[in-house]
Amino acid sequence: MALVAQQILERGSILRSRVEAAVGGVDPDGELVERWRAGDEVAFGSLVRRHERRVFGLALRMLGSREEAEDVAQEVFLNLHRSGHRFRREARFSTFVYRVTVNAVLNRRRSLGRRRARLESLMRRQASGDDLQHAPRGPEESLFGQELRAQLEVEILELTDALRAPLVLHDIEGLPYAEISSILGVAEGTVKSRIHRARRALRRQLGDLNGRGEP
Amino acid sequence: MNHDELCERLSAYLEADLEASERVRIEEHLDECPDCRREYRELRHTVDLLRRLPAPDPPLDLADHVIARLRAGEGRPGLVARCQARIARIAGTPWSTPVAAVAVALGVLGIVRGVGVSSEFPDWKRSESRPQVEIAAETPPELPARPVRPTRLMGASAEPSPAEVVSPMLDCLRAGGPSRSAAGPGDPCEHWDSWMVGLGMRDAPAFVVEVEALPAPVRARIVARIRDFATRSGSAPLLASTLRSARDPRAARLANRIERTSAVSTR
Repeated sequence: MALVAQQILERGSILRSRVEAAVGGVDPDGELVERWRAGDEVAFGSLVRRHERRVFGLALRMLGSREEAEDVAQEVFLNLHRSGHRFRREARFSTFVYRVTVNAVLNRRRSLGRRRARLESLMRRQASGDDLQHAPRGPEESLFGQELRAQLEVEILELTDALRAPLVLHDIEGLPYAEISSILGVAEGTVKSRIHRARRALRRQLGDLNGRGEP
Repeated sequence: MNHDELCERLSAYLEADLEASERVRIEEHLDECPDCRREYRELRHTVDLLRRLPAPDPPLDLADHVIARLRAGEGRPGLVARCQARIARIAGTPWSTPVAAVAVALGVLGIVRGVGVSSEFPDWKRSESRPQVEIAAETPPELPARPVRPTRLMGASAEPSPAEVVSPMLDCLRAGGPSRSAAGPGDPCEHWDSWMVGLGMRDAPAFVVEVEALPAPVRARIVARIRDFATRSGSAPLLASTLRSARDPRAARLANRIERTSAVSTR
């Protein structure tokens, strides 16, 4: 019995050191995750607060509808709670969160049907003004800047899932290629080439609008 | 490297993700090619726009909704996951060995009897400015345990004996066995995992005697299911240790089989 307990403890310690080596330091969520796995649900509440912005933001960028994004974000946290035991601490907790979010978004889009989802999203945006934030970011942002940003957000939604996910994760969320490769389960080279293709597609779609704001 | 190949490398050039020699080649090409220069300028502008997109604010009550749904019983891990968590949690405490052994068994049985079915999520409200440490320091209020769902095997007053469990177990096997996922209420295999945990921990030796009395093919099927459960739940070492403590050759044989299967599956 003592042996079993000791083996479990040793395995935990080995895993922890592997994670720290892999992520190049201590996972900033490590302590909260430990407490949650030890049964402290308040710690899980803190993790929800800490990650709600990135989960919701990613879901909104991928789906284009606040309503859908909120729905998916709630499901993501319930899934995390349900499947927390699968988090092996071989990566940062935030990587695990992104992975669960991307899967939830892709499942949602598959279940709705891509075309229907896009149509509904466009209709909703037209009906309710817009779900994505196109309000001026500050007095310095021109009407042209707002128009360009609105157009960009629409064009992001027009990309295929395979191109949109890495683009959003890298150029908007700021994640490194290696982490995106781990989240999406594709090679790092594939991530880079998809991001490049997505950027070129956006550049083409923005057409003449693009570059006019350049000094 | 021709024009098209160089164009394909513009994103990498933009992010300074290139060897020095390749970088020089691209810069030389950009000096000569107005199309690539334009594409590079527009790509840089697109990326700049993407990076400056504002992060959308989540709904103010997003976390509250999540917590309310958890309190209502959604998002609960399955039995096997809870079993693993309990074992790891109790084994990680600095208790003496005999106490830990008893606690593991009781803790797992707690899940079976419904103690672990209560919602463990504490009631706390959102506070934007409250620091993490302060939130964590709150003492969660006591929550009433959810009533235990009565079953023919899990009465409130008495635990089923090994003999009482064998008969419904055979019903389950006749219905196709517990391998089908998500056995629902009324399914003869609904409580299979509970039987495994309860009997494996508490009455393993007596259970082995009951199983040994069954015809060989049926016995083989039950033993195979036990091995499957032990492997899935990660409880093989614990089950094997409990079985060996009975000092019964039949129980020891089962312990060996469980450990062998588990070792193969984790290799």
